Amino acid sequence: MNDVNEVRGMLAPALEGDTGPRHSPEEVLRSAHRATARRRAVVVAALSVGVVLATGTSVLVGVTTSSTVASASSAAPTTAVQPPTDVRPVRTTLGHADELTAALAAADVIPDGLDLVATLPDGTAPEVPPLHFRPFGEDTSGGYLASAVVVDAKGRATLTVYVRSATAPDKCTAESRCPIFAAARAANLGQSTVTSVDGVEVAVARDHGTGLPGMVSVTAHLPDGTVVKATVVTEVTVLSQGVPYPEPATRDSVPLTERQLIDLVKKPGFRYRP
Amino acid sequence: MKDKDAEFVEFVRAKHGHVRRTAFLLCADWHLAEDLAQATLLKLYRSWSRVRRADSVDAYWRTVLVRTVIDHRRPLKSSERPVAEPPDLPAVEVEHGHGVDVQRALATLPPGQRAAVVLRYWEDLSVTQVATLLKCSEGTVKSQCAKGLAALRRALNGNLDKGGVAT
Repeated sequence: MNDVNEVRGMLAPALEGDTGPRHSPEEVLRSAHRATARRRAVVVAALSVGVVLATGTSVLVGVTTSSTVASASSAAPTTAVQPPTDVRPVRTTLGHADELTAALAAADVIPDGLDLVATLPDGTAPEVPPLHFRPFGEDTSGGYLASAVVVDAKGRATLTVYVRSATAPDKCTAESRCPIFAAARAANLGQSTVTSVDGVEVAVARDHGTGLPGMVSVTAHLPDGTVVKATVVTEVTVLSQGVPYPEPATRDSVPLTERQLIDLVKKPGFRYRP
Repeated sequence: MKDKDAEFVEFVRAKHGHVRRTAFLLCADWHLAEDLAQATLLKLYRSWSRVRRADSVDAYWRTVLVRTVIDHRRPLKSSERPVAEPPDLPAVEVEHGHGVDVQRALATLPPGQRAAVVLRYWEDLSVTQVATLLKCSEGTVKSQCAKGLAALRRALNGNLDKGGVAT
């Protein structure tokens, strides 16, 4: 076992800078309790709104909504601007999803230094961009969703862009097979503050510890009845054994600014109607 | 339920440092190691009844940790960007001494070699145990260990000669 001693001798200096665990055992236990509660809340929330999850074989990422559906553990809904309800949904098509993907690519909204990792089931195909739209449900009350994990040296976050018709949420039900991705808000985030910037609704939830934005969501209500919503959140949700599971945040704040998201939703080409 | 919490706290008190140090050796980044250790502990809490029943609790947490490290790496692998070394690194090196050299040498090892070396020599597991943990053949473990060890020796040879840290 000379090699053991040699390697230990070699590696030991690397541990000199170790200041010990940042959290006490009691704090770890509290985190475990919170994670367990959050996991349960996600499942409860999912069941309560009849979430239809496209499972497939790939990882699925949930969209953190601004809080029309809040988790049981953090039920503090923000005030959402109600979109007009007189817009008639039309059928979703793969062709229009491709058009929206092209519009997104042309908008060139991802800042340099951020990589994208596909999260939707068909995003692993080489010809499909990681951040691409796919239709959900039969009509545009379900809408089109694009979702990807954005990665930089600081960690990971989830970016979603949602284009749908301005249809009342209660028309979008499990029975109509219109999926609503409704992940619970992360326990480390406070209540969203909602403001209006340039006619766009901006919701920001800050991390309890750092005070930095852990979730930024912007929603534009366009005159033609399209709702465009872009959300970035430090949490990444993965599907584990059929259950959406929020992984611990890997970064202190989101990698995109409010302004960048506002610019994104105001780019031309995002229309619910094919 | 209380028993579970009490047992878990006791486990964390006893093992958190070890889990964290092993995580660091596997990923060569203290901040990431902290997160990976925390994620590992949360997973253990979730399946505490299985931890209790395990033949070896140490083997159980090592398995969970290694999988957590691998799972963390997997989605990032194709998209990770090389990060340029900060220009003031020499100053940091002076401040922290030989440990930084070792950390950098460790970081240069491919993940497979690093995992094999850490598990085989730092954790003192058998070749069979490492192969099981990494889900590869014993031959692969042996070759990864040999290559990793040789790379570490090469990287640290000059410093060891100068500093006399190693045995």
